[in-house]
Amino acid sequence: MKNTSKFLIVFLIVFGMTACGDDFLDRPPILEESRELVLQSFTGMNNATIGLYAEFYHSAWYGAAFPIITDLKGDNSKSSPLSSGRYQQNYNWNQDPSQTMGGLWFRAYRAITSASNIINAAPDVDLLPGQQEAWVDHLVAEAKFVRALAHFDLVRVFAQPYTYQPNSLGVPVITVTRIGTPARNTVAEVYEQIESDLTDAIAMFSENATAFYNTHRSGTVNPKGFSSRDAARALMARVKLYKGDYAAAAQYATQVIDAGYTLYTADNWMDAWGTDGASEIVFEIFGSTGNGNWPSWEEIGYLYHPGGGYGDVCATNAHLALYEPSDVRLGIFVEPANQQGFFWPSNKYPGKNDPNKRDNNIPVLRLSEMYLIRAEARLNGATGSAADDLNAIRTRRGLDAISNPTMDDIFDERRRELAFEGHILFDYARLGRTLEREDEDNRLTGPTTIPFPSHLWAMPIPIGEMEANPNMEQNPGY
Amino acid sequence: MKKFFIVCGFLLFLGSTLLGQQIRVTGTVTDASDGSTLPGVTVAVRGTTQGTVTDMDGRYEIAASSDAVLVFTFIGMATREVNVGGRSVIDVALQSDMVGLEEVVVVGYGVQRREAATGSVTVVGEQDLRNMPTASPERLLQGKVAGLQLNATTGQPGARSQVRIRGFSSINASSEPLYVVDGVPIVVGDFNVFTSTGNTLANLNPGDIESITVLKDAAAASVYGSRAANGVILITTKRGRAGQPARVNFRARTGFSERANDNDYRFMNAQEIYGYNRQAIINSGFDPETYGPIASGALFPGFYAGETMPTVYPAGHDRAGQPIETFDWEDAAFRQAQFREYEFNVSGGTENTSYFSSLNYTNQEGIMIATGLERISFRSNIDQRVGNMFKVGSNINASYSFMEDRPNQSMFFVNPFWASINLLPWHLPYNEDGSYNFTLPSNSNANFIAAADHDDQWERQYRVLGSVFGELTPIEGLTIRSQNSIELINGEGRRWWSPLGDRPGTESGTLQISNTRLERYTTTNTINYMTTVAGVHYLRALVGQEAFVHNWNYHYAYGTNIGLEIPHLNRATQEDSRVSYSFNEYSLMSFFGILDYNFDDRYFAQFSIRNDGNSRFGADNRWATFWSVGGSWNLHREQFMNDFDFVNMLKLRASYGINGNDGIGIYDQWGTYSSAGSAYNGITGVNPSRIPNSTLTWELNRTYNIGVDFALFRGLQGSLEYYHRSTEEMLLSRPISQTSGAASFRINIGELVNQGYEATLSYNTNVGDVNINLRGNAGRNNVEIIDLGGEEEIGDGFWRRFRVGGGYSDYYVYDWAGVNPANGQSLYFNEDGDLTPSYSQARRVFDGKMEPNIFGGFGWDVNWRGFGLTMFFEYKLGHYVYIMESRYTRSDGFNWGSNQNAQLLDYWKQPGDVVPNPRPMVNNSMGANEWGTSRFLERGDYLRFKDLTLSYSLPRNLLQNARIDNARVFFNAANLYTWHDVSYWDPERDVTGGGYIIFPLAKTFSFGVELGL
Repeated sequence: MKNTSKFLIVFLIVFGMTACGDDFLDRPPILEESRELVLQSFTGMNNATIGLYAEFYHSAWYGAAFPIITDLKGDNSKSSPLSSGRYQQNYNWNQDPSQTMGGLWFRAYRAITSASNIINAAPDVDLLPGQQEAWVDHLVAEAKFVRALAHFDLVRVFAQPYTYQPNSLGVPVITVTRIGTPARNTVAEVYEQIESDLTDAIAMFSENATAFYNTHRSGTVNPKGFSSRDAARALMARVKLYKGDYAAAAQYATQVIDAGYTLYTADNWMDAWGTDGASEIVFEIFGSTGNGNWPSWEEIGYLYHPGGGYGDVCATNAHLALYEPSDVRLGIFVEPANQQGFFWPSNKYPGKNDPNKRDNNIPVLRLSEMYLIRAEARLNGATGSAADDLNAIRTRRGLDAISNPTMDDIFDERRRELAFEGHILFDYARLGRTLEREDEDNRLTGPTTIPFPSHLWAMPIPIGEMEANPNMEQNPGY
Repeated sequence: MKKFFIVCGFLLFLGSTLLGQQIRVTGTVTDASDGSTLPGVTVAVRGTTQGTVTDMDGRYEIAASSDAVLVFTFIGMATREVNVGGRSVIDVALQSDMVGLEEVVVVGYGVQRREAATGSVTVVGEQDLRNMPTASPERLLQGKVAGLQLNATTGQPGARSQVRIRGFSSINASSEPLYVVDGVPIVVGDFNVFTSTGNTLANLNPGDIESITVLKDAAAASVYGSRAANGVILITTKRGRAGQPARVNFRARTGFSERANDNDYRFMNAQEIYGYNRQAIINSGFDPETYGPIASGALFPGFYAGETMPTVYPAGHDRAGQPIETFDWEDAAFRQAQFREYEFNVSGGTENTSYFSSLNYTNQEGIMIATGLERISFRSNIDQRVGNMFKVGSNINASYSFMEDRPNQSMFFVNPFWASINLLPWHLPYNEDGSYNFTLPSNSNANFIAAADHDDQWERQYRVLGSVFGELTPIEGLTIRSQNSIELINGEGRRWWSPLGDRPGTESGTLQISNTRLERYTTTNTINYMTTVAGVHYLRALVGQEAFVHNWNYHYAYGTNIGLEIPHLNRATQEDSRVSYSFNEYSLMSFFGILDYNFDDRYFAQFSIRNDGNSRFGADNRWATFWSVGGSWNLHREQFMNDFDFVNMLKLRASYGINGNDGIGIYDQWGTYSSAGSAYNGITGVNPSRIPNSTLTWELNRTYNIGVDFALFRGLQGSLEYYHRSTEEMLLSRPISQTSGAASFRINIGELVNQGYEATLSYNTNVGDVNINLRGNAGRNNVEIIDLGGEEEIGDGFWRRFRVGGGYSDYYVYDWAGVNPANGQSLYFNEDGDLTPSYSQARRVFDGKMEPNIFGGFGWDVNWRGFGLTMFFEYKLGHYVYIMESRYTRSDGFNWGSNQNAQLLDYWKQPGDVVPNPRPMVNNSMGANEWGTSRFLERGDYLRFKDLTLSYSLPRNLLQNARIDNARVFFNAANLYTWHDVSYWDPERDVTGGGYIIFPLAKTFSFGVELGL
């Protein structure tokens, strides 16, 4: 019997370890920053918020493709004589689901999910003594701004405009990161999420974003490369305009106009490009060769640069015809000696420090756009003088003031002022305008007329998403 | 030499004091069935290596202590052990019906009689492990085990090997087996930072190994559960035996290695490359006399300066009659590498204590300059009985190795192999004043001799594998055992780029140092009960628990601008240095059981089960259960077989089981953030780098095995097996909805199948007093991918693809069609099967696979009196290799400016030439040397004369006066000759068949002596 009890003891020791088995098997990666670790402290969450912005500069988004394609398709630019074929299919409006803007889809959802991680973890974040809830609120506001902008860019690209069919297929609204098979929300539902995020952001941003960044992001080169309450208001103004909610658009635009930014003048217009945080800028993507998602040889500046860069894309004659000779904005164009008659807008992306011009800030929200939004809103019923707003721009660009502007005047002004910044295609779409263009150099193999309405105004959902997600519905016509 | 005698003298002295009372025993050995005498029976003194063989008349004579035990073994006969008991004449009759069946083999968590095996188990004994000089014991298995494919990844001493037992089981998880040394699962792989010689198995002295057991099927391996999918290799080291007189063995061996080159693989000499390049200039439409590079003198010093370029290279002289110096760069890169090994061990035991201790020193240079391995290893295995019920013991293995290396296995310009291939013969290593020449345009101005002379690249490794165990036997048949072990590897590395080495004009160098530590703790606790009921029901039950933690950490420091005077990191300033730290850890918790039953030694059944929890897997799938069943039937023990006298053994067996593969990344299940790609606006953030994967789980292997083992005519033995092994729930990356923030995700969805046959045969016979032992094996494996998770094909690195219905991985190459006889241009087949000169039009075709169909080995041992001759051959058939650097070394002028392979001399010269190589052109862009063309895909088949050993054991009567037990001298030639068609010095490379500038396997010739006292 003595022996038996000995066995029992051994047995219990041996098998008693089962109880602690799961602790014993818990071996998290202590040197990698696990989701849990990053999102449970203010410092980790701040780092994750910085990471959100790095997505924007990717070559599939603001770093190149998004603004380039917008202007190419919208007849501001064309495939140049130097073209090696880059973006040719976009110029042709060849919307093959296997090739069109799959990178934007991926990047934008990456930003949306990363932003959602921050937003959802914020209530449980651990604060060290001295760290304030308000700081966390500021991070949440930034994340909501990023999530709003990403959803907005997706819905602009992959869906019909809100002003046409608000209940048509939008994009999936994502607010929680999970491996799922979400179906598409309607365009209106996407806008609802965007507005809700922006409303929250406006309320949660710190009063003085620059001070916040100086304190918590020491080393920041350009505080306007991060978002702010003004940026959220400016984006809201644009969102309201895209909805046709003119009163609200005018209201948000006014808040930004009154916030202390200064319009470029005829004298300093050319200096604004290649400068960090110029006077009009509300929010821009900070360009640098040191950025994590630096597009390198695919950066927008290298693409638009005809001497030494690829120079694949230059301005259309139709676009150039919009300018009067006195317009200072003509200064952005370069006509190389050996390419007479062709104009590259490369002075808008002149680079900063890189000898190959591959480190450009990409303006996302700036004061001129606010004036133009308000002008358009006022023309459509919002209180105030549309002419005043339009002329505020015109007189500072070397043009005469006009007294009774039409929608066409504003449209053309937007086309000049915001050229190559990623607007024109969506202006056509939201205003329901048919796009007429010419094959100027025998390089266009696509359609010269894109009627409105047409299925072409919504790009196809990328094939990778269609194959992996059974609930994803393709846009009609593809 | 003087030292050697002193050592021998010391050993003699030691031996004479340790030996007990020796007497001479004589006798005759007969066959019990007919009384005939048996020549060639091995007679050994148990617990020693002392032994002799019976003569023509079955007589023997041996010296043994009066209390010794004699062991009589003969193929086809049951082994018998007889106590000497003071007798001087001992006659023995051997029974023929128990052919080696009583032999006990080491299996998972225990030992087993060979006759009782139900699974597929192959044992490689000491005699197969002692001939070949190698630092890494696993290499001794090559060709010895049917179904075990071993590829030496390089010929560098101490480099790791790749082992595939019964094929390739996985795409994204490991296909390597589990290694267990004396019951402790050990870490394998290369943990060095700066050298590729850090094979952890190279710390194990092959001379310490008693046997290696290879567990191939589920019945044998499943008790190792989640780590058993790729088979298990059990290494058992030598132990002393209770009551055995102390015995001392000494062994010394020395020799040298040389680069193998049995195919006359070579690069052009000065005259050849000169003429070839000149032709390339002409073919390109230039005039050799005015062509730019020549005029500038960069490539052809001695031939420009306005001179006409001679049509033929005037051997040794330029046109002006000045002698031209050339240099043999290959000779400077390769060398005759020296090899030395000394080993000393002592073993023995008293009634309660037994011990084995050994000390080994090995120094093996690599055939490339400035590479090599030096190792000192020590072992002590001790068993101590305490009272009647308790036994304790320890196994300690400690080793130190120093490994030296050069930039290697890739196209580095300071890699001596690559550089010596590139460099043109008239580019000289030294300037006239004796300084290094750094104007070497044919090798990007790198001088590998300077680098080898002045740079450091080495690693020191200290390793301890120690375990203690206690065993309690409270009642007959019941054993409670606990074994606890620690494995510790500490590595220190240094890489120093001296300003003298390869950086002319600089005054300071760059230094990197590292410190790694790996720790593993394992506890294994088992309760084993054996009983026999009514004489015919044998039962064994074992339950056990095992827990294990592995952790590794690594410190790295880097500094630049370090002066030559004190080339250490304390000289680096804060601005010029950085440090980093890595760490990983995983753990395993297991519960297992084995149940063995046999009825009357005729019917056997075996069942095993194991429940494993592994920290690598997500919380949802962390625990899993693996199991196996096996059965066997010993036909030779049945009544109805009594009439078949010639059948000594006939056994049928079958097994089925499921085991797992945990060989995935340690942290694959965890969601993480990383700063990579997250810098923005002058500061660095973080972004998600991996999404959490809580469903990640083991790949499963489902294995059937059937086999037959036989022994016939008292000399012929063998086994035949068939297996079918399917890998299920194979981990593959699957595209997912990108609304998750990621594009793909690893899930367990794929499937592949390995099936094959294995045959092992041996035959032992005596012709007069010549004993002949023939042996051979062959494994045929066929692997087929069944399911890639819905995909038809997935890329696999360079120019190979996994495809459903294909082999493991098939080459997918541009279809080269040879040289156009009309114009000397290269041709490809296009999609329509028509010829095209354009590489970009070429179709891609599946052509050849990386895994061999059939592989194995064969050989023989012949012994006559004291002389022994062993010859052993190893082969692999049916696979392809891709010689990746051929793009540069057979470039038809593309890599103009560097030396080229001599194969190119057979190039197109005039219309109508049907030749393998195109017309050379300067900076050729005709596309014959493009990436991934079938031109450089070659059959990897080879037959290697792996082992030639000649030995002579001195006659015992000569030794007796000197009180020496046994003295043997031997000569070994390893890799003596290889038959192959591969365009490289040696055909063997890693299992992928690719790689750049593989460090080739060497031929090694060595000579040694063994003394037993």
